[in-house]
Amino acid sequence: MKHIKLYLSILSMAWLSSCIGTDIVEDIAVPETISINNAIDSLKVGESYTFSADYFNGLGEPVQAMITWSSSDPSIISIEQTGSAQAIAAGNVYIKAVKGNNADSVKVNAGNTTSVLANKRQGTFMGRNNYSVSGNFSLQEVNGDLTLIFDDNFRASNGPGLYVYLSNQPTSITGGEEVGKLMKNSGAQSYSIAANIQLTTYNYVLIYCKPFGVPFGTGSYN
Amino acid sequence: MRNIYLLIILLCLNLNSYAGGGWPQPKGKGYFKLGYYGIVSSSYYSPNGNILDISTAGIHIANFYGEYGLTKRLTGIAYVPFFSRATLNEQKSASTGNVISEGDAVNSFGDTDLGFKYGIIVDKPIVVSASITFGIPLGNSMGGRTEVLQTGDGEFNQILGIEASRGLNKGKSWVSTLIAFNNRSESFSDEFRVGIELGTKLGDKWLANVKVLSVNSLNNGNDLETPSNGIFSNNIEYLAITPELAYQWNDKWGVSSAIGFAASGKRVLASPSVSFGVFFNL
Repeated sequence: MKHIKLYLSILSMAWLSSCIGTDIVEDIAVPETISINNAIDSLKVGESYTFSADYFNGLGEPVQAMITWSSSDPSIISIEQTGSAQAIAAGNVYIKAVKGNNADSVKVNAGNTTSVLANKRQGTFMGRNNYSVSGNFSLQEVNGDLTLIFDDNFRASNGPGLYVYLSNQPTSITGGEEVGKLMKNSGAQSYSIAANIQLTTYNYVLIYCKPFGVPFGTGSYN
Repeated sequence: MRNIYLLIILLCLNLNSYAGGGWPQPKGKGYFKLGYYGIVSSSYYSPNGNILDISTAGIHIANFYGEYGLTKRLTGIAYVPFFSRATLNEQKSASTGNVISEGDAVNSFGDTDLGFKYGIIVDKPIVVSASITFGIPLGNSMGGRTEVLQTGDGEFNQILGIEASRGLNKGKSWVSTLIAFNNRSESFSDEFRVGIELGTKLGDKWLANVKVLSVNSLNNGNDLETPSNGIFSNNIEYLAITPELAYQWNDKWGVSSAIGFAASGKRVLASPSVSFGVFFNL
C-alpha cells in the first residue's frame, strides 16, 4: 500500500503542472496606415459623395482617428473635413486622406457619371509554416454587403481549429477581423463579412490555426 | 555452456520486467506498473520538421501498464490510460493585456492498448517474439470547448511487431530490437516503427536503459478525410531517445523515471516528455 501512496504523492505533484497557464504574446509592430475604404473613380459634376477612411495603429488595429481631407484642386472637386466631396467642374483631382505622417489618395474624375472604383478584389492563397494552402479567392461587394468567396480550387491542410481572418498583417491576426471557422478544407465556400468592414479595409486573408496560434496560409490580393 | 545460456536467459527475464523486448513473461508471472506521462510544450515540429512556436499545450496521463504470462510463450499486455488530461494555455497580448484566445482543457479516459506477445524463440541466447496490439479509441479526439484537444486519435490501431533480444555481459546488460507495422483505420496513414533498447544493471538495485524509437508514416492516408481535427493525429513522425532509470528496493517493488527527447519529428510537440512509475513484479 505504501508504494501506491508513493505513486499517488508523486502523481499529485505532477498534476500541479497540468493547470491551464497563460502565454504572453508579443505583438508584432506594424507601420501605422490609413486607407480610403470607399474610393470612386469618377463623380458626376454637380453631385456629392462622402469619402471615408480607416486608420490602423501600430498593432494593425482599426482605431477612431481625426482624418484630414484635401483635394488637389478644390475648384474641380471640393471636400470638407467630414469627407463630403462635391464635383464642381470637369477635370481630374486627387482626393487625399491624412493622419499624422500617413496618407492615402485616390484619383477622381469629375465628369458625366459617378462610378465606384471597384466592387471586387481577387487574390491567391499561399501556404505558410510548411502547411499547404492554395487556390483563388475574391472579396465582393454586392448591394453594400461584402462576401468572401473561395473558388473551387481552394485547398488547405487539415489542422486543428482553422479559422478565416481578415488582417493587415500577412502572418498575424492582431488587429484583424475573425470571419469564421473554416467551413471545409477544399472546394468552394463563401463567408459573409461584417457590415463595418469595407472592401479595402484589410489587405490579407489568413487561414489561421486559432487555438495554437499558427498561420497555415495567407491570401494576398493581386 | 548451456548453463551459462540459461543463466543469461533467467537474468534477462528479470531485466525484461523493465525493458520488455523479446522475452515473454513466464507463465503466472507478471509486471505491473502505475505510471505518469506528461509533456508540456510551446514548440511544435511542423510537417517538414521545422520547429514552430505555438500556444503552450500539455498532455498528462495517469496510466496502468501490465504484462502477464498466460503460458510459457504467450503474454497478455495492457496499457490503460485511466485518466488523461490535455491542456491549452490562454493567450494574452503583451501590449494590451487583452485575452487573444481563451485556454482550454479536457479530461477523459485515454486510448487503450490491449495485446498479446508470443515467444517464437524462447530458450536461446537470442530470443524472438511476435506481438499484436489493438489500439482501442476510448479517448476523446475532439475535446474541450475548442474541440481541438485530444486524449486519443479517434481511430483503431492494429500493430504487428517482432522483437528480438539478447543478454550481454553475463546477463547484466541487454539489447532489444523492434520492428513493427501499425495498420491505422479511418483514412489515417499506416506507420512503420523501428527501435532499439540498450540496458544494464548498475549494482544490485539500479537499472539504466536507453530506448531509441523511430516512427515513420507511410503517408498513404488522406489528410483531408481524417476525422480527427487535431495536430496529434495523422502522418506523425519522430525519432525519440528515451533514457530511463529504475530503482528496485526488493524483488517485488521498484520505481522508474524517464525523459523522452524527440531528436527530430513531424507534427509532434517538440519538447521533452517525462514519465515515472511504481512497478510490481509478480
